[in-house]
Amino acid sequence: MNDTTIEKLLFHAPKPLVSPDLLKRLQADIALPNAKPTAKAREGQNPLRRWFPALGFAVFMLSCAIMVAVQASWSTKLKTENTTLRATTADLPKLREQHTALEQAQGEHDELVQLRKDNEELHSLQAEVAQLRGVPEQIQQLQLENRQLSAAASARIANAVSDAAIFDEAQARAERIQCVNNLKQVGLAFRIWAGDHRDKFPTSLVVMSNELSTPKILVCPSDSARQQQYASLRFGEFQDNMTSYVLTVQPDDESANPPCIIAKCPIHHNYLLSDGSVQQVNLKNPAYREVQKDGRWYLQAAEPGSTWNDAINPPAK
Amino acid sequence: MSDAADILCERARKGDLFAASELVTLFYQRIFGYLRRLSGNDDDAADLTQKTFARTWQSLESYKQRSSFSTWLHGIAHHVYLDWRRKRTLGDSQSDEWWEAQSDNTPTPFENAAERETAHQLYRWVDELDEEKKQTVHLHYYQNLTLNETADVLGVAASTVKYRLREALDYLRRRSAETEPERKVV
Repeated sequence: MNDTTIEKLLFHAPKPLVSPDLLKRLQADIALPNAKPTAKAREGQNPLRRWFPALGFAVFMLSCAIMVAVQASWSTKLKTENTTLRATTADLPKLREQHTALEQAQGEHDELVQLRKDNEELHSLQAEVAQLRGVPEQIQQLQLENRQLSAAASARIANAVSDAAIFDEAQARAERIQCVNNLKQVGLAFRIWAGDHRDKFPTSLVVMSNELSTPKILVCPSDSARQQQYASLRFGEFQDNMTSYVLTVQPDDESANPPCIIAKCPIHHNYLLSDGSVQQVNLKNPAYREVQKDGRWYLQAAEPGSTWNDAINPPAK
Repeated sequence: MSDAADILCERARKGDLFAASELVTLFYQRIFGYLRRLSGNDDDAADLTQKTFARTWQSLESYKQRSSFSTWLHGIAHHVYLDWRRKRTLGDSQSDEWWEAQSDNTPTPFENAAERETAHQLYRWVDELDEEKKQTVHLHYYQNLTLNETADVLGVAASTVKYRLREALDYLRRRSAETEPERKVV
């Protein structure tokens, strides 16, 4: 055999028969790195997942259809409303005129109401004016009453002044009587003390503290200075120079002697006599005058028409 | 077919299982035939074919298309066969019955029985070649690969392929010359 024959025989070498299952096995063993699922593989999957794109598209289309239907419904409704409104707007000029007329009528009505109010106010003002016209007469009457009242008030004030004088006088009289009362109590104390000391009078008021209830009776109520300073003191603190009364008693005075002055009030000219009585002397018309005999003071009947100075300083005879 | 195979390969790289299936349909018979002639039995050939395609799918990402898909696939099959052969120290050669059976079931250009017998004898002589020459003859003649494609599959230069083929043809011619006088005598 030459080379050509050999090559011819080699090129036409018989081909081995392949098992029919091999192709299926090889196709089943295909394992690509980026394999996409085949139709057969897709059959094993969830049908919902397989049909998801179609279902999604169908849902989208259905939603679109629903939206279109809703929009069509809205459009129809709006058209109907539009038609109704257009029909209504045909009467709009007339309604505007009516509205204008109504507004005018309303304005007139408001104006009328305002006018009525003004009228009522005017009437009320007129009534007030009528009332006020009578006011000057009332003012005159009031002025007259005022004058009368002023006169009455001034009279009352004058009366009040006289009342004050009367009150002062009464006050002075009450104080005078209180002073007399004080001197009477002091005189009683003198007599009690003398009863315990052989009818001898004391020359001090403080020694009669047991006989005197309180030192307050040793201060004349009209002696305001001593009242403030000494009236509230006790006998332990009280001294003879604190009393308002002037002691004229002598050391050897006795209760049995003719009544002489043992104490006197220099303010009221009240005289305590040794018999315990108290004599009041009116300075304008004195009934007595002081007389000194043997170192003692006595009250003696004064001459008619004499004054207190005359009584104190009688003319020399 | 090469362009179609490259297109299918590109689609398979993107994960198209249908394209991968088409590639299998296109090439499984040639690969099975190549491995069947080398391995010597159907079961091993089927296993090696499955391994070849499995390695093809694994290496599909690294396929740079420097050669045709057919060449690249034959290279994988060649390496799968070498790995298998290393594990099997003793190789089985095809028996005469197998070649006869194949010739009986497959249409051949041989008209008479004498030509068929000559062809069977020739195929047996090819199996007697050393491994490199036998691989070269299988790829170039049995698998119809070009010289360059054969060189790419074997990882050698085209001139080496030519040399090996020349050596193989010389051997076959010598063997043929040795047997012809015997036939004439018979």
